[in-house]
Amino acid sequence: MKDTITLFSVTQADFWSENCIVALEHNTHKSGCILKVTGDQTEDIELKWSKSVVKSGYKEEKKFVEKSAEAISFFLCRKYTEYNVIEESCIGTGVDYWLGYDETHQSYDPNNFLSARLEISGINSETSGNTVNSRVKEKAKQTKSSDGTALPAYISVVEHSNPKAYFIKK
Amino acid sequence: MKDIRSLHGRAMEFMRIAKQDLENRDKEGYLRNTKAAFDLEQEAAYALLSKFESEPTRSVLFRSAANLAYNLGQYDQSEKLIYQALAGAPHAEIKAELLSLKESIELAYGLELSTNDITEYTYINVIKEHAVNLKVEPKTDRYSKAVVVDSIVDFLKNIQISYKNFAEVHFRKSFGSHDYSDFDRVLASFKKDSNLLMVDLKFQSFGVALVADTSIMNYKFDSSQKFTDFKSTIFEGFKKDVLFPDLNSEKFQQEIAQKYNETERSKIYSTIVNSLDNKSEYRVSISDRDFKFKVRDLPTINKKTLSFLKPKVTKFEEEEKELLIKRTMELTDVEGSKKTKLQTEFLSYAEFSINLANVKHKELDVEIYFSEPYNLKIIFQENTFSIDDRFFDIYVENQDFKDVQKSYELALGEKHLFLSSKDELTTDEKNIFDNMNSSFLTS
Repeated sequence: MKDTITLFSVTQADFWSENCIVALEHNTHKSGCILKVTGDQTEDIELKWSKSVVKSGYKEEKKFVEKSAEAISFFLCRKYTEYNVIEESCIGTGVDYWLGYDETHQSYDPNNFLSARLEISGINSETSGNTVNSRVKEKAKQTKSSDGTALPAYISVVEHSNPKAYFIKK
Repeated sequence: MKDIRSLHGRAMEFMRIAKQDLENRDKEGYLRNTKAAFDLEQEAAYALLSKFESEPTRSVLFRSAANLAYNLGQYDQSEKLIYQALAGAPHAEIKAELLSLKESIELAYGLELSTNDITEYTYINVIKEHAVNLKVEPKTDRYSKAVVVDSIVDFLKNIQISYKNFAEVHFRKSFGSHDYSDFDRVLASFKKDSNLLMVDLKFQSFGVALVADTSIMNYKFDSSQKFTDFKSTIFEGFKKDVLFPDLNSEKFQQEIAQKYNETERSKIYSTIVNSLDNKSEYRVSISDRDFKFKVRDLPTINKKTLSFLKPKVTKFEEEEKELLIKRTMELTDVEGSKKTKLQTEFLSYAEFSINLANVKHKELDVEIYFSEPYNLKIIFQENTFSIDDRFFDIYVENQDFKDVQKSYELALGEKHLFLSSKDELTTDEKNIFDNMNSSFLTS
């Protein structure tokens, strides 16, 4: 994680990684389990980890599932877009992050370092009332602009019981 | 040339610290760090004043600075920053947020909100992040989309009782007399703090955002790790087991049967199912955060589900017998001489109002004399009479109507003695003591 999202500290990167491990192991997955990615691309990604996490600090399922979804979404963002994850959006609905170009990228502009949004949603286990598709629809409905002035945005929905992620450009 | 990104990054760090201050109820720290964030963010935004091509960064920084100015009560400044943002070419979402902030400023002017008010509203915004948004709509279009007040009151009462019972069931599952030597008193304190708060409202086809504050203002009586871990899961557990699932689903019912016995199921679900059965005059749905679109309906429950979630519970001899209030209505003249019995009903919920003029309890060394009769509400619910007095912060329960009053009087006297002998009072304790001194004398 710390090599992928270079703009966060090592401590922050470890925090996200641990939440991801907790969420996957909470659903009895082991290192080497497959994450099925769909959306704008289709791919099976192997998730590997070696760390043994002390679970006593991770009690609230909703929290570690959300943080895990963020961690996985960051990886997908780096893999499928030109952007890096800059920071959390402090104002706005849902769990949003700002994306921007790395300083070494040819398109980087120090006066315009926030380029797109990443909207993330995490599910521990799909139920009939709570599915990846319904979350995607919810995110997609949130802003609709018909005049082309919508902010560039990506949607990432991650489910943990049968690990899968839906990643699209809005 | 200014390093705008660095300025913005430092501002964001101060904002994170300010948010932590808010959760810790450190108002001075919150305002200090918000001001530091604002100064930096405003500097970063103005560095892009003439750089109209730098979107979305330009309008995001101005919006962020405007929001910080608003939180500090600097409305003029906030408006200026909004106009600067709008002078560029903000994207649709940012423009919507800017206009929404402008509305909030106009409301603040209209209500003459102070910085303290804004800080309190910011507290609401912090806990609102965990809220569930629900909509109550009429089943018929007799009044178009307008929902009858009785329906709203009915629904809010049902969900509040359901949540309180859910919290109690889980508390009893997790803790016992081995955790607390005075278990009954601790349970009473826990029940007093188990409340849902309304943190947002939408009056068109009534929408309400409900949340339980389980960490900032409530449940302060136990700071152990076990209780801290427990309380952080209550509201999420309630959403997961009561609001979000398809209650008619067999899979859900199998899971719930494993988790709760019949008594517990009846306690948790018996009120909320009244809002969801086909006789209810309204329907309930889960809405998005802005009440703009429906996420999904809470399903109308079928007969099988009703008997599962609200089973007829067989009470054993050693368990408490169910108590009810019997209300008899008679037609009579003013003297009360001619009586015709009209109706008798049994109530599982009732409210009583009493006036206290003075308090004289055999276990108290002092007597209390109110300057004017003090009105108290006694609620009867679930076999128990309770008094929840927020003015003096006293909560008591008893199965007897007279005994609950005596418990209250004793608690009031003891609290007054405790506060008057304490060297240093916390802010909350000082407020309660001031309330007491302005309401009664002691001898």
